Amino acid sequence: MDENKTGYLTDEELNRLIGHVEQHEMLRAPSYLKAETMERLERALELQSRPVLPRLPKTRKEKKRELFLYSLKVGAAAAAAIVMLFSVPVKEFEDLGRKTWNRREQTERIADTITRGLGEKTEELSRGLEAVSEWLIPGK
Amino acid sequence: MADWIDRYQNLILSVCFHMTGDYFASQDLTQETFLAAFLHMAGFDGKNEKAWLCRIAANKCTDYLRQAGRRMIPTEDASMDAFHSPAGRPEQETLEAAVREELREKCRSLKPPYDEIAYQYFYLEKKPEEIADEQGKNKKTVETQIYRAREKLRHLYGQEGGGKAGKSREGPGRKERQDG
Repeated sequence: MDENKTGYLTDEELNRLIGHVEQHEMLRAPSYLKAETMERLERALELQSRPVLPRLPKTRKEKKRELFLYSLKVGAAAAAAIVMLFSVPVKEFEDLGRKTWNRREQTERIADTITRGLGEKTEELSRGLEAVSEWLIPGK
Repeated sequence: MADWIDRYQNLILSVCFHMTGDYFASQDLTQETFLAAFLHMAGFDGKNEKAWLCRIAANKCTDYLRQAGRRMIPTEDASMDAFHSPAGRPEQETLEAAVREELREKCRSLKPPYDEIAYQYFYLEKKPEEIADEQGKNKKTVETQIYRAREKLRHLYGQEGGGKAGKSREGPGRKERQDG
């Protein structure tokens, strides 16, 4: 088949393809395909019908005001961080770190205990099941 | 649009399968074709809806193949002749059977519970409500599992570069070009 510059089939190629497929390669579409297609169409219709509010262009004054407010927020956050850094003693930071680490260790220990307990119970259960199967089918 | 789907979904699916060789991608592309037709109905001149829909489908397939980095380019008209059989009809049925068999194999190759869900929905074409009733599951759970099974099947088909049924149709004179 020849290709045009866009790489898409020409009209002639397309007509030949349609003819060939109709004669020799027709597949039956699965029954769910229509239902799924209709769902997608309904979703597309829903999206289309949602009102789109027009966005008015911002004036230079509004842009400057936005920038000023944003700068205030960033500056306030930076100032608060610096104040915290110098107001809270170093020792309290260290204690906080240690408490967090202890809590983490505690959580891990609890998780280990649960895992070990589950493992032991699973083994007990499997031994029990073996005993039952031996009783049911002796000499297996 | 529902009427168009009834009339042309078989043709569109077949065109997409012919061009891509991937059964699951063909289904996606078929849906996208009807969606695009719906959204661009204003551009339709009202003359030949079959040709218009097939044009949309063919272009979508070309775009899909470009994205996948592959093009199947039949070099001669002989490549079309390779698929002609004297009886015509048996070849069509063989293709349908091959596609169905491949689908069944791929559904069964999934891990539980997706193997059964995929088999029931994609191969046996049961509705989610029916599957939910039979298996005693919540309908939403079944729908979620169907969605996941579809993703896995899509990946399986995509991995094989179009599936066995698609590859087996490559006749003489059809060459594959690797795009950048």
